Amino acid sequence: MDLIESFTIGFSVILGWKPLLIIVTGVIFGILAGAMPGLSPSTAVALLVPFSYTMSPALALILLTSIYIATNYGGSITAVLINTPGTPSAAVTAMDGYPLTQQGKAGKGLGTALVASTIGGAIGVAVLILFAVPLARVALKFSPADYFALALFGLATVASMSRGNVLKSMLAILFGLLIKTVGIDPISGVSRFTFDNDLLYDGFTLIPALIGLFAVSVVFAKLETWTGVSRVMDKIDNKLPSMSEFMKIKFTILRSSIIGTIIGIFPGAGATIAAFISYDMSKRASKEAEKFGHGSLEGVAAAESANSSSVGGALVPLLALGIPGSATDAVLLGAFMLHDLVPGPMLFKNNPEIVYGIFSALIVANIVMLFLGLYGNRLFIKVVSVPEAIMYPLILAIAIIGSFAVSGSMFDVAACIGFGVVGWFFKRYGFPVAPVVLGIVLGKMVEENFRRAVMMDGYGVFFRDKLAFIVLLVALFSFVWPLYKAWRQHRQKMSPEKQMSKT
Amino acid sequence: MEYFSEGRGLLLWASLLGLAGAGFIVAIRFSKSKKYTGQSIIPTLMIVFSLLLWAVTYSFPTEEAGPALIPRLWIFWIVFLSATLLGFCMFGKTEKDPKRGRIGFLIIGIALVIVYYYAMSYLGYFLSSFLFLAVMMYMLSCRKPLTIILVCSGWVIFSYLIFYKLLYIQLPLGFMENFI
Repeated sequence: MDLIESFTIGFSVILGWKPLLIIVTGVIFGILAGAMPGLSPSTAVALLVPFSYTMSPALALILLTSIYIATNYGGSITAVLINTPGTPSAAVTAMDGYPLTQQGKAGKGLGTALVASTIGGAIGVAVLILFAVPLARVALKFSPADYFALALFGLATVASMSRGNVLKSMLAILFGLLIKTVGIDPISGVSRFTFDNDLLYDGFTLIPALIGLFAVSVVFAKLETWTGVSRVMDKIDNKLPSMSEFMKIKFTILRSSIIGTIIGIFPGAGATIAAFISYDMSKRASKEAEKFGHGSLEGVAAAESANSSSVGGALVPLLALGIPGSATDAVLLGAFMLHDLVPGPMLFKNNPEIVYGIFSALIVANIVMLFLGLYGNRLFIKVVSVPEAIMYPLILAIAIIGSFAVSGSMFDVAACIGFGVVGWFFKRYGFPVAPVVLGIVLGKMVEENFRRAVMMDGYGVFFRDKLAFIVLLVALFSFVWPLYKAWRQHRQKMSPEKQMSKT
Repeated sequence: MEYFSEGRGLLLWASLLGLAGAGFIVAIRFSKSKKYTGQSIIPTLMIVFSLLLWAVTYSFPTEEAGPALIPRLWIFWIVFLSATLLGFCMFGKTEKDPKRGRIGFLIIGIALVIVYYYAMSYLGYFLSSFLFLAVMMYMLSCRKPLTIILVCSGWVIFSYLIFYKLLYIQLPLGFMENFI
């Protein structure tokens, strides 16, 4: 099937009032959720997964990917207006966006963020289409040993690229992997760690665990630091940047979009790292580097185009190999599973309407985002100003009903609350929760492929299979290298102190 | 090890591990490393639970690449990394504990969620949600009765229409089962 034929199928899925309404709803929800500080893209998508439960798989995934792409732009709204990034990646946008607001040029900041997000998102989607399809074709020939190695590589890079302590990230991944072993063993059928409790035979349901770790834990963390003071939004001007101002930043947008997409492809890197790196590179390449940090449109464009384009990049390994590259991708993988779909090469073969439906929806969602951003910003700002005293109880209510809706079980609700407490505790002591989710999501894939490979060819298969061997070596390197770097930095820091103490 | 994998043996193993874990945390709390007490709780709990599950794996059938293989592999690495982190805590080579926030406020919040969870079975989803939202909003300093009533009723109507009527989700109705 050629690309044009495939896209004809894809667009036939989204052309209709219902899918278009779903895309518009997803974009609006995504922008609003992204703009609310504390709601990350993964939280926003996780909260909406249960709502997609009774939709057809194609429509459900169109809704969730539309939310995903729009949250990154939404994060820039509060970053520009009140210096409070709605999403972690928007922290980079705030560095130049907020100074623009202070100078009375909030409209220019928001306009630049919107256009850069749209172009970045479009480039990311283009790369997704170009890379995912051939990668999926190659992946059809992968053996269980290859899949095991790839999944392990994904987990190792997630741990090594996490901000903060690599050991804690690794421990969080292992915790997720161990949780996934609860329930009936997928190969032998033996029940593991169920303690004769029927409710545990299927293990922990993924969606309640995701909602607990991402959404409920955010509310608990907020309660611990509750001050009762709500953010205040000033009135803003709505003057967009001129065409000449856009022309000045066109290469910055293009460069940052490419950087963002490439970084997005690597598991664990994500939107925040993409935004930081492209901001730094744009600053180095800029003729007006001194303006960065003081209200530079280039700075806003670099951050926004990179974080939006990383979405397309991150979807490449998810759709082509079934390996989520970020926390939000892990939630999307959960949504696929909820609809009995397994992302990877077989999805391209058996359900092309879903894959190309997602591609087409991402293209349309970008255009919808541009129009909604141009004409709806004032409305979004009003909605985002909803007091936290209303927002956080509502998040809890959505989380509870969402976790119940998945399989109508109160046990899932209890698990969601339990994971919420675990997530809060993890966050409090600097353990990231996204690796836990990735561990839960990839646990089955890692175990099944490892054991199948060993049963078929013995333990030596990982040395004989060239691809698996190379990928495992890279995984080992990507895990050991940051540890070695941290150890060297620690020694360098210590050596002057030692010399001082000797003298 | 098989004795500890089930029944009384498992209970005994759990008690021993629990005591050892609690003893370790208390020892850290009263040592020079007391600024790292919180940081050492998660690794200690990880070790305790992992070793408990390690014992349980001895009740699984033994075969090559069998059901015990992967859990044991993860447990081995969890114990190794947790022990390393504990070492960092004991020698003060990790971040200090974060400042204590409003733990009491948080506990009340968690307690409210738990009460909401149990209330759903008796009062039904709709009434318990209304009450939960109202109490939670009041707790978070929202003191306008009209706002509270509007938000709570809005959520109940929304969840009734979307989840109960549109998505056909059988929400718990409690004593209201005969009325809805």
